[in-house]
Amino acid sequence: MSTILETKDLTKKFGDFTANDKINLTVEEGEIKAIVGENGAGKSTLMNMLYRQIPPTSGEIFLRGKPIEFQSPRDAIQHGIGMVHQHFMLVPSFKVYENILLGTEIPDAKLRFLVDSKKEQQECAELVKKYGFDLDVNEVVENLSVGQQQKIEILKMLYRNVDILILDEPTSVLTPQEVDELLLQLKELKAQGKTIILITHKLREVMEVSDSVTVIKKGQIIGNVKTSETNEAELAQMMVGRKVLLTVQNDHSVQESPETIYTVRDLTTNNTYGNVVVDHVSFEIRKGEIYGIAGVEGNGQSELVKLLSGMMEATGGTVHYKGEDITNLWANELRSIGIAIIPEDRYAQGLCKEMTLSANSIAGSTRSDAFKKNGVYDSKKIREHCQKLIDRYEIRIADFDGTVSQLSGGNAQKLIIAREMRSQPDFLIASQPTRGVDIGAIEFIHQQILDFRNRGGAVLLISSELSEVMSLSDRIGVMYKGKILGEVDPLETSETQIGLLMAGAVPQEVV
Amino acid sequence: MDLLSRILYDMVYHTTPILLCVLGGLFAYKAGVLNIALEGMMLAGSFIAVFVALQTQNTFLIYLSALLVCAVIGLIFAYLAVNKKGNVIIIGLAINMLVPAIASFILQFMGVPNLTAKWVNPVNFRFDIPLIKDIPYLGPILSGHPLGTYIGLIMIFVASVVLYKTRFGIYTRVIGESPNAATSLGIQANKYATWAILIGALCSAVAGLNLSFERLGIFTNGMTAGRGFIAIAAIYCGKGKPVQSALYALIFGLARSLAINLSVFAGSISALFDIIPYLLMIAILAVNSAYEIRNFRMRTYW
Amino acid sequence: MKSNKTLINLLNSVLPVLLALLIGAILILAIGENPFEAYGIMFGKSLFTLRGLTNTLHAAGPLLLTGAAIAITFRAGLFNMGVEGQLLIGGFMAGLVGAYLHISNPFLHKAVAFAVGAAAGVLFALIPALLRAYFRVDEMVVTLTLNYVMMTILEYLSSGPFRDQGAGYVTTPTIDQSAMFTRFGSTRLTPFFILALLVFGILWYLNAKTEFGYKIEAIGKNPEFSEATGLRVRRSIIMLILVSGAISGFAGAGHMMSQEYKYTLSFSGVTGLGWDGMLVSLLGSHSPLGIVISSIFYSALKTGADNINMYTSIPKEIVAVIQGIIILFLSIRFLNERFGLLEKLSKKKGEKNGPAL
Repeated sequence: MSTILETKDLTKKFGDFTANDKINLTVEEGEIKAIVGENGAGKSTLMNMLYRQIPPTSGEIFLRGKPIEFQSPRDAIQHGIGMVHQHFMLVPSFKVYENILLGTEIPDAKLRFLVDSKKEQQECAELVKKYGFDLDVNEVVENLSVGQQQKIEILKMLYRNVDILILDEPTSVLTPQEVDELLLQLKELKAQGKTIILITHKLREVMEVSDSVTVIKKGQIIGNVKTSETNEAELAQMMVGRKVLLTVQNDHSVQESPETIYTVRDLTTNNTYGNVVVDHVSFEIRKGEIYGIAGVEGNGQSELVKLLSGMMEATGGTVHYKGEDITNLWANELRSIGIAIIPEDRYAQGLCKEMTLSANSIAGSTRSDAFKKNGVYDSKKIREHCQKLIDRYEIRIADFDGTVSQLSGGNAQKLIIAREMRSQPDFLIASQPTRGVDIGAIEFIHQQILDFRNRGGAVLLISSELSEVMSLSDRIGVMYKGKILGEVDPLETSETQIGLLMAGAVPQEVV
Repeated sequence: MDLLSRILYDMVYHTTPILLCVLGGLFAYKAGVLNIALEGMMLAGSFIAVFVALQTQNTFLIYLSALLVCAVIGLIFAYLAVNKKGNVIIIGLAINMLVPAIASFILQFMGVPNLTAKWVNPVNFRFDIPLIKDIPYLGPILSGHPLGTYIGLIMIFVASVVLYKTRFGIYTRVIGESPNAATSLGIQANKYATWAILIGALCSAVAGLNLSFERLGIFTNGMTAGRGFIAIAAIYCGKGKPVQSALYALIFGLARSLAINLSVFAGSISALFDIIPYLLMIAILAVNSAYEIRNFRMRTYW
Repeated sequence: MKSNKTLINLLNSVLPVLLALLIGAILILAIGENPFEAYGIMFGKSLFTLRGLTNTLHAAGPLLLTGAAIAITFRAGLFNMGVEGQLLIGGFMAGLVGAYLHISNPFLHKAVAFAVGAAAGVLFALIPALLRAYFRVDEMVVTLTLNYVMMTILEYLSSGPFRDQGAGYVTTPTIDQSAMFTRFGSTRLTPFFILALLVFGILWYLNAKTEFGYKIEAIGKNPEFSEATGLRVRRSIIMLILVSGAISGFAGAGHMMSQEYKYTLSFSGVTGLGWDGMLVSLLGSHSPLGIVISSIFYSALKTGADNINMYTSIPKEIVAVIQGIIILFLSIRFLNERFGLLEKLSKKKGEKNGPAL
């Protein structure tokens, strides 16, 4: 094997912040190279430089031994480097073939200024066939599943004849089955001579598919190893810099009281297009219990959370809390009866990035007398309150008077949890509580949720990280196409069984 | 001509400037740039056309100068909005304020209340289309219009082809719908956004020409009277699709034609008929929007 | 660091003004006049004489309010472009109250006129507010068109049913003495200016110290977050547009009772007080202090322009041109925090001073 891609002292600075510090990466031709690291370690920055989405601050890139200087992603593609982004770069209203050929449209033979869509469809259909993908090139992209959309992204690069394919966190949105399918496809591509760079933080996949691993931490390479010579625990330790527990300590031993505190009955709603997205969902949660909802993203979990947190209206069904009907209450009303909410997207719903820490710290209780003096806001009281939250939850900040945008993902999430827990709620809705958060903060957040449960609180946990739901929950409902397909006990169910449910396979027996 | 065919002829006649703005403006709309400066650009076209008509009787020069001035305004808009990432709404409003201000500054300086090119006889600018004019019923409605009207009608077809069948159109739609997809494939978003804005500016120029020069040979300040905003509403309602948006423009043209033709029977209150197209526009926007959100369960209202 | 930012903000407001004045100067040169003389008269007569200064302050009253009306909605991410129309209906209705309701108590008469003016502004603002909140109709397009509707209606009303038959031009009857603000001494200033300041001050206080201000900021910066944390965005949007309408109507009523005394077709001036408010708000970067300063500055420009007409042959429309250019330049930020010209300058200065310190 020969080296196909090499970087020398590649550095990227954003202002004073060094995202990549003198990276020397070597990729061999025809291998699958995994690049692992925590969130915010600088993996994506590195890849974006290779793909010339962003220009490097200094350093060089060598392709087959020759120094290259791309001016745009287009350049990179022409030199055979393609990238599949974590967030797809597709045009939803366009058809599959239009997306694949975007930027390299085939002109009409006679009228050169027109596009020959017939020929385009033909060529794409051939491409799909050649690589054995299962896709209709005339389908509109917004009607396709996430897994299929990913295939379009890969095809887009294959059509452009790239030799090196970079995939940024490709599995985070897939079902376990789809993940397996993708990994198989990657091996297939490798067999056809392609070089693949896989960015991920999921170590199982790394072990399964890669040939070599590069570990990045805080913008620096801290290790290069052959996959065959390492294991998951060792990689995890390299990533974090200390020994980590790969699973949380959950003894599941806390006595659940029989008292049901939260009941959802036949909850139903539809999306903007009028399609039912939450379909007669029913479950109940007892005091001192964590009820988990697992499922592949886009199966209605997000809408369910919005329904339960007052962001969306139900078209049918009821929600009861402590015996009272709380269906379709608004967010402020839910908070006033003791329901805390950790929303799915922390910067869209949980925090306001452009507002100060203290302004964010009173969100949700802006009418509380605790922050007022003589009926108007007392900035001293508000600042004290904010400081208290920061101290108690060890939130790392740079500037107390600055905005939330200064916080890392983990610290931002901690601020939300601190704020939501302040009112001493009895019920917590936690949606994707650890998404995009580093491992240290994950442990902390998981512990907070478990502690809350152990104090007698009830929790609804929605997460697309199956391992998270498995290790924290006392019971799990699996969502598929807006329905809860089955309810299982995590202690008696394997990941494969849940995976089948997540893919819509009807359960043999409901636990 | 009987009343009905008069109303229909006037409908086409009054649709013209709105239609032109719609078909030009929808490119910027599709490119994700809200161009509310159509109003100001149209007024600039009206002003320059008559202003130049006072100096020369060369029709070509008149057209050229109106197009050029509007192109310059379009480029200013594009530079500030696309290159400098300015707030498009404020830029648009500024242009809408600036154009009438400059026009009235010049009018004041010349010491006249409005511009009149006496040599212009609107009848000379109306053309009959050889075959179409002989079609019964339809002929007298579609034929005998000024050049701008025909440009507008042809533009419906041209805009459809350009938007959906050429690279330019495809890329314009891409940068509006998912700019990330565009940059990831090296499509130069700025270039296409600028061209999209420019097309709007040029079409507004023709609309302005039609309004002042072709129809009357007179410019009065503020003569566009919100037609640019009506065009934007039509684009909104038609979601930027050429044929649909054009149909909405036609509805507004019909409202205006009705208001004018029926005002004869209404006496003094007819002064209020002028507001009908505007109210109709708001009503259509509301109905359209209500229909669109009929399935909306999200409690998010922005 | 912080003062640096303030300075940049300041420059971002001052530079557009200077550039606009420069372009205005070129325009003045082009018509064969002397720009220095013109600007000298403009600002000299409007700021540096007692008479001029009081005239300027007098004219700043309505601008202060329309500026605030725009700022409230702009900061919340709403584009209430209907301030002009709301001001017109407010002024017109106050004019009717002043002329047709004969209340002898001057306080009461003015209070009723203010109330009716503000209420008219609110009612007119109700249309875009409800359409926005319940049907998600773009409030900007609606308010922009409703301005035309309102102008047409008022033109009809003032030239038909409510026309002062005795006048040689289109106007409503002059309001009663009891509805007119009395001037301070020989100046044009009236208690309305104090009233405007007071209303402005109350808004400022509410903005800084209560949930009202929190809502405006949160909704403007992140509406989804606002909804999720229970701020009831829909209600708030209606409330904000209505408050904006009330202030505009109030401003119109005040302008009627302190300056115009009757509704004519040029009630709101060459550029329109509502549109002036937009410039004032933008120029003051929607901040309270900024709005105070910019309303006085812009008022000086306008009163100065009246003098220009008297002493030179420059059309007073020059103000409208300058206004348009200022707004055009205000749409972009000339300098930003990171790559500012200022930083380069201060760096150089720092290098110079560095070793000595």
